[in-house]
Amino acid sequence: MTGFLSNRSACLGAGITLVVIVAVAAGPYLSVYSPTDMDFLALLSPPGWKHPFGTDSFGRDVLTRILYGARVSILVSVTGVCLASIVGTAAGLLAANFGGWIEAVVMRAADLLLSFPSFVLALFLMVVLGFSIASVTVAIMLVYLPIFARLSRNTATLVKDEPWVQAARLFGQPVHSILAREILPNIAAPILVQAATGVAFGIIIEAGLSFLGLGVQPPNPSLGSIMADGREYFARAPWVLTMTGLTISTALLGLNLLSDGMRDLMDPKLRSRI
Amino acid sequence: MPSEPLITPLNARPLVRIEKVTLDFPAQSRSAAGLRALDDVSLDIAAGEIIGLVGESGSGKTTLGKTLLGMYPVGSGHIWYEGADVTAPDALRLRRRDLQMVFQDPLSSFNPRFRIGDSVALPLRLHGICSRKEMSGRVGKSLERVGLSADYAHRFPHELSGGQLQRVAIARVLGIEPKLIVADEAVSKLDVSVRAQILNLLKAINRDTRISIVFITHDLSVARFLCNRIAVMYFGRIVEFGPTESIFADPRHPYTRRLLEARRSHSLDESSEQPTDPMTASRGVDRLAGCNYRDRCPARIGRCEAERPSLEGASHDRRFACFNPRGDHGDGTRARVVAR
Amino acid sequence: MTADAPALEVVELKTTFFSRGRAAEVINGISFSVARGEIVGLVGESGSGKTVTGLSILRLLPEHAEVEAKRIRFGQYELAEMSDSKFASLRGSELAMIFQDPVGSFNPAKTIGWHLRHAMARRKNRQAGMEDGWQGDPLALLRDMGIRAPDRIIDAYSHQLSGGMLQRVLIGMVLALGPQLIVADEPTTNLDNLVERQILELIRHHQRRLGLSVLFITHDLTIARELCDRIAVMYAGEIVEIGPAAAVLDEPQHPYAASLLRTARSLERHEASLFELPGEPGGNARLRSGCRFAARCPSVMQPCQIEHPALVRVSPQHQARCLLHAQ
Repeated sequence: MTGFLSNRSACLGAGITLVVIVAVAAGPYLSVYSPTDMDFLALLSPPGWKHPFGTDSFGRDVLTRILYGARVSILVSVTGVCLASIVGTAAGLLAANFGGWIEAVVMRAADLLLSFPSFVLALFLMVVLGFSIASVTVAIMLVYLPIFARLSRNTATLVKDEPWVQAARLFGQPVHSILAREILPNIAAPILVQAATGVAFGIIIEAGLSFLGLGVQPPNPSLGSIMADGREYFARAPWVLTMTGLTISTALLGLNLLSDGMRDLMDPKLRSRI
Repeated sequence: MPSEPLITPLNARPLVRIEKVTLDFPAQSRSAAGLRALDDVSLDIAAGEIIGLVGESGSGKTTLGKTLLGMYPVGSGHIWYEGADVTAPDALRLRRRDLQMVFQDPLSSFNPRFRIGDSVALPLRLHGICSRKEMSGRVGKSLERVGLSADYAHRFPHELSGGQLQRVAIARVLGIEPKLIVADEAVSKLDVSVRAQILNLLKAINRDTRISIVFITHDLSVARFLCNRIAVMYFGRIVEFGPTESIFADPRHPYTRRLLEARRSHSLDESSEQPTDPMTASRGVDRLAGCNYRDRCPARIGRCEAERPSLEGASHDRRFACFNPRGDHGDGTRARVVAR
Repeated sequence: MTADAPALEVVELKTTFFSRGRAAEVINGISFSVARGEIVGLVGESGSGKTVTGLSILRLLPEHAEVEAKRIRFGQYELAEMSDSKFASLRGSELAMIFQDPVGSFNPAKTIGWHLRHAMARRKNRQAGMEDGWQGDPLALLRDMGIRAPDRIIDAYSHQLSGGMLQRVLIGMVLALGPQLIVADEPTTNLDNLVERQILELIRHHQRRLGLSVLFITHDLTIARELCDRIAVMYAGEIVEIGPAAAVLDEPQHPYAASLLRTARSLERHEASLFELPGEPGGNARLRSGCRFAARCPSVMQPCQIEHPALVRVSPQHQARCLLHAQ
């Protein structure tokens, strides 16, 4: 724990992420506006006391919309990455442990998914599955599934022949227990780091999809759709696009710093002392 | 006094019988030949004895130890345990308790995420040795038995030294009361002063519990201290075996003599041999005719090239595989080196 | 500078590691010297500080380590005060190190031949004309290292060679650099006995031929006995005995050296039970007041718990840090 606190990236990253999460979780309850409240007397008003981030072309409070939209982005991203990490890690563990055709199938499937640029894959899935929160979640999950599978299979391959695992087999420990107890805890570090990066990227994918109108549908706010709106009248009211973009950047910065910090922390522990 | 060989009645069934076991590792690439890790190896291991498997890296000693534990699938040949054929890959499943291993690197023998106590408890749990309530008491006693205090159970592996961890490793296997322990270079990575502690410990355990130990090492001095019998291995074959003192007093195979020479302190200026790298020298499956030591052997004669010497000897207990065992450049004089 | 000035003279070397606000002193002010053409052995077990000594002299420790010394004299250079950049030009040319695991000294993406040519070119840049007879020919160098078919090795990569072979190549590389002093850190520990013997013979042969000065770090007394001219025995960050190899190992004056020897001897003499020292050569010893070896010493006396012994001259060349010899 002390190690964590002394690492500046990790602290800063954790701090920013925490602020974003709290804002997004609590904000909607604290905000005096609803994301769909329209104030026709204050169309496209610049940031000020009443509307800290200004209003959009319908007079809706931009800050409130961002908070609601961010909720969706984060929810979708976290869920998608969580599912991907659970299924992907399990697949990778099985592949590493059993080898043979299981490994071949898992790895080739992963190769297949990875051969698509992630955004293209997401687009394709949206067209097939229809546009909704659920389908965006599935899209993010499928984008990250092969990444976790590959990562866990590669790290598990290194661990599975370590003496303590051999000893466990000699003691007669059943396979599922070996995977869960002997191998998984020792490959968890890079997987967690990857998950943090994954959530960041997932936010981008969701925002990108909804920016194109292919994600969460109006009137549900979504970071991407707010940005799409904001782009249209950027010359007149730059704050809509800008504030949304800044919010996304901040969240991403926080998550990336956090994952960098986590990675730094995990590494020295593995290095032996002189 | 050195370790005496066990007096075993001739018709007593060995605990483990390894019979003409051959094991190939498949080729890594199309151009390379497969590697013959074990080549027609036969060996009996009696209950209660400590037998040393001695050789350099690449000799197959570790492979043999792991194969008899069922960690590698046998290519051809048989392994018998207490009279039952356990050659098949899954055959040892029901006897997991009886055959155990202590590894070379003490630190990586333990899951770094778990405390020592949990690691020692694992085999106890798996084999239902005691109830959950009794577990921590049992673990504590295991640790004390190997000279560590019971509160080491709360520590993590990286907090202990190599010597302490190796004691824990021994405690861990002793908990399930095996019949045979394979110790794979168990003291090689330890400091000299700690090595003595572990060796004394192993000897005491064998004396008190009559657990057989297969002690794998490249260090003949250590083998001499600990083992009743020694089998010398070279490139996947056993080239000589017998009671320890007999091996030291009268080594027959030129390789055994070479190993004995190397451990003695003599002047570094003498060197009669070109270095050969055991790893890059060809050990392909394609190169098996003849004696596998011939390229380095000072006693080589024509026969060694084409014919493979089999293990022969005056008694079933003392054998060596050489056509020219007392040769020294073929001039008939006995090899210089005799153990003192 | 006279001709018999030592190749290396270390005075009061002290190394401290800082971690999480705490300072751990790893080496406590040791002093020793290596004469020209001499092999000095630094003998100790894990935690003794022997490896850190070598790394301290060569400035290869991580950032959180601090090295202080009254003097580190290397030939005509004063290393203790030297800037990092000036030192970097000395290291790898005049002053070289051989590591325990040779793999890390090689670039995995380059062939053996590349490494050797690189080392030879570096030497040539420093001193016009080679004195060692290899004339920039890597094959001749490899043959001189006892490798029978160097043409098979020259285009190989480091991961394709065994430990023993790689160590030979590494020694060749280091010799090609033409150093004045070599620090060898347990170069044969990972090798089997036969290969180890050959490598030691190789080192001895070339050291004599070229008149090199060597600081040989090892935990193995037998090797130290055979290879080294003088030996310094380290325990818990201090030198506890130092003197000519034969003297230290035939008649050790410090109980620790004596017990190491007794263990080695009891192994050779196939006794029924090996002589063992209780406890571990651990880091806790440094925190103790009085003699750091007191907790494990078979000859411990009452004053040992309180008074920290200084190095005492037992004979003209031989010193021991033990109250048994204090006047």
